Amino acid sequence: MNYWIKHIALIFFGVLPFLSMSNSTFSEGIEAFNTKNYALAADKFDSIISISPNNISAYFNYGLAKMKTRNYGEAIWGFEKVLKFRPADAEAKEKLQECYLEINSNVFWEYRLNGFQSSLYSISANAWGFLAVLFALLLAVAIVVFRTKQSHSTRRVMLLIGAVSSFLLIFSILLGTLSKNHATSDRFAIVTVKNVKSLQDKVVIDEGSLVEVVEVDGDKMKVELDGEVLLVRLEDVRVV
Amino acid sequence: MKKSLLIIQALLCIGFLYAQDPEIILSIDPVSADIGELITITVKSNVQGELEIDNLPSSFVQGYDVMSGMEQEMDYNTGKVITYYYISQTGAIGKKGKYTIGPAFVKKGNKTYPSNTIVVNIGEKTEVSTANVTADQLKEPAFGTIQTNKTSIYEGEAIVVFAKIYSHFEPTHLEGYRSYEIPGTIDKKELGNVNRIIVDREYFKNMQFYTFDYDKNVIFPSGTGQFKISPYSMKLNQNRKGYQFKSNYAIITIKPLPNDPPSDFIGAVGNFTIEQEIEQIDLNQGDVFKILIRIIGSGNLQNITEPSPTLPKGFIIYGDPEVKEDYIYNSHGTEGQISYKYNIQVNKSGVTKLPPTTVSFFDPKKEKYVTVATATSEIKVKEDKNYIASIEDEEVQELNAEDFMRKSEVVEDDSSFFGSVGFWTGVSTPILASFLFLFLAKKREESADEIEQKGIVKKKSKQVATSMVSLESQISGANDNEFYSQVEKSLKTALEVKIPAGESMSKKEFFSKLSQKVKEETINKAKNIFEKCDQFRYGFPSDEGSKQAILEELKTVLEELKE
Repeated sequence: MNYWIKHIALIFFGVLPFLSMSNSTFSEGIEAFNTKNYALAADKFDSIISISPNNISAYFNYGLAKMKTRNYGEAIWGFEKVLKFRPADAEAKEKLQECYLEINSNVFWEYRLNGFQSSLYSISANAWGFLAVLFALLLAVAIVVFRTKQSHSTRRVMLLIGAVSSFLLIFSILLGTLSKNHATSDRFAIVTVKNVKSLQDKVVIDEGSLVEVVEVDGDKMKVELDGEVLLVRLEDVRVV
Repeated sequence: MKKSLLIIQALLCIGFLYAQDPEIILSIDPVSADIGELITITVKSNVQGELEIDNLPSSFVQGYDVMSGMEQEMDYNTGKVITYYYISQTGAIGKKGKYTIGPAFVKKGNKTYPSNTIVVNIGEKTEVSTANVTADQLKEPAFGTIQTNKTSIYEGEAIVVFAKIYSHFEPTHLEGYRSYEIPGTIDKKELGNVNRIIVDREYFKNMQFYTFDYDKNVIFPSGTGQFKISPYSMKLNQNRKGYQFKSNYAIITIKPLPNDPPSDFIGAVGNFTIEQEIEQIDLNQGDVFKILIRIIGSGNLQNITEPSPTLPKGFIIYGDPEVKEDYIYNSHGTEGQISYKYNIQVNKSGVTKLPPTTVSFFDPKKEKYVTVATATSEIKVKEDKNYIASIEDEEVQELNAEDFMRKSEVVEDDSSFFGSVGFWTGVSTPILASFLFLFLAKKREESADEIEQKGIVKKKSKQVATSMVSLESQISGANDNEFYSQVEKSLKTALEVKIPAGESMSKKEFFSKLSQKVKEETINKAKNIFEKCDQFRYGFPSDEGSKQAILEELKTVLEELKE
């Protein structure tokens, strides 16, 4: 009894005020955007992101606000985060294209996942997980029916269902793993500041560049760009 | 009578043709200056009389430089030569503010003719920084420095630069002046009257010098970083004697603007306000009305980009705005206003509130972007049923549509179920359960076989036991064939308990299989019994003792088989 009282109290006094604060900050962000106070809007959405890292809309709106303030590196990071949750989000891709064109009109940006991969990763790892459980159940039923029924035709059908279920079970687990890795990996980062210079050899990295994270060392990050390992300040990049 | 009227008319015409309107022109140069900066007030008139300016500000300090005279100008429209009389007076205003100077008056006889008025804007005295002067320079007959009002400015901000000349002798004129230069600067405007040099006496580093300022410019440097203002050179003369020198250089730092300008940033650096005027507020659907937006202030006004009015849906801007510039260059950069007149067509009927139009500029004093907005206005549009907005208009609206923000949406945590214990339990449980079912089914089948086998064994053991009882009673009987057949049958039954006899199994195969389960000695004993039975059945008849012996052997074999 005490257990439930404690949990209900936690929801009312802990989680609900937190959610309500997040909602009001979100509304303030939209209000600031509508009144063209884009810097404030970006701050509001950034604070929502820190409270609720799974708020996909906050990332998108943050990107829009940062686009308006011409801070394209930060905007790219926002839209990349949206694509991390929903790799097939056409609007986020369109905005990313706009940002890259603003930074360098000669470069045509292409998303690193192709259309097929984007569609597959759009289905969450959890959805693949539920499908895997379903196929496992189907396989089990096929095995049981195959064993109990004597009719050859029924056994043949069960054999086919069992084979297909096994294949789909393995396929679901594989895609679920890939989708989860895509959603949870910290492999890539975006350079959010203009003309970042690498700390060791002063190589200039363009704003909005997508770099591969090699290692984080205190306030520095080792990143890989075009096969070259560079050391940058942690504050100049944001992990996607 | 008629003749006299004609003469009067002709005289009036001649009078009008030759009459010269009194023209009194007041001019001030510059109209925007700093406290203490010299301004020149000139009154020019085509009427000869007593010239005077009455309402000079109390803080106006009259200079020593007063000039008066006359000049003649040709009026090319009439071909007449007009004589102008002028008086020119220098002076400085010692207090910040806006001053209306004039009208000046020309008194001729009983008549007084007024001039126009001019507003003079006096700003705070520009603080100047002097470049370092070396001890060697102080010993030279003359030297020059480059003076600036700031040493560090933001990109787009104005800077005042001028040459200051120090001389131990009283200069009479200068020649061969080569101006200073800031690399990459194209936006440079002269300040003050270049042709007029006012020599002053002042103490500098405990020495008295003749000094004057020269080549004063307001400059809008381009680019960022540290810039070197290259030295100027000149020959400073006193009558026929002259001294050639080159000034020292000056360094200024131009800082870039902060990284995140608002989207309505119009490239303005300084201090500005915005005003909006709507020509007409009661309209019919389809009417075109004008919105006038004014950007007022000082800074780099000449370089700003046009603001974009914020319009609700159904309002379309037609063409480029009509731009009117009204500004002057002074030590603050450019001061005044630029107005943009937009033609707007209204497609939507009803009462519409026009949202405020905003612009942002960078304020170098506050070191941040500042956004200013116009007030909201209301427009009443009467519906016109015959008016149909063209498709093009709708398309324009689509193009001008704002970026829409998304409503709050939190996505599920992708790692909550997949890969968790629950997930692996969900996947493995049905499969394991099915395999367990297979195992149990097999076990069940095996136990059924075992029970059947046990039943057979029990039945056969019973048969053997019954058969043994029957054989005991047949020992004394005469039918040997029946007795030995019974012995063979009993032994065969007992052996079949161990190895169920297959129909197609030969005797050899049977014994070979039996050897895996029963001792060789027992098998031999069984074989011996079979042979003896055959002998007694088909050979000589047996006695009771033989029967008893074979029965005992059978019992031994049966006992051994039981083990």
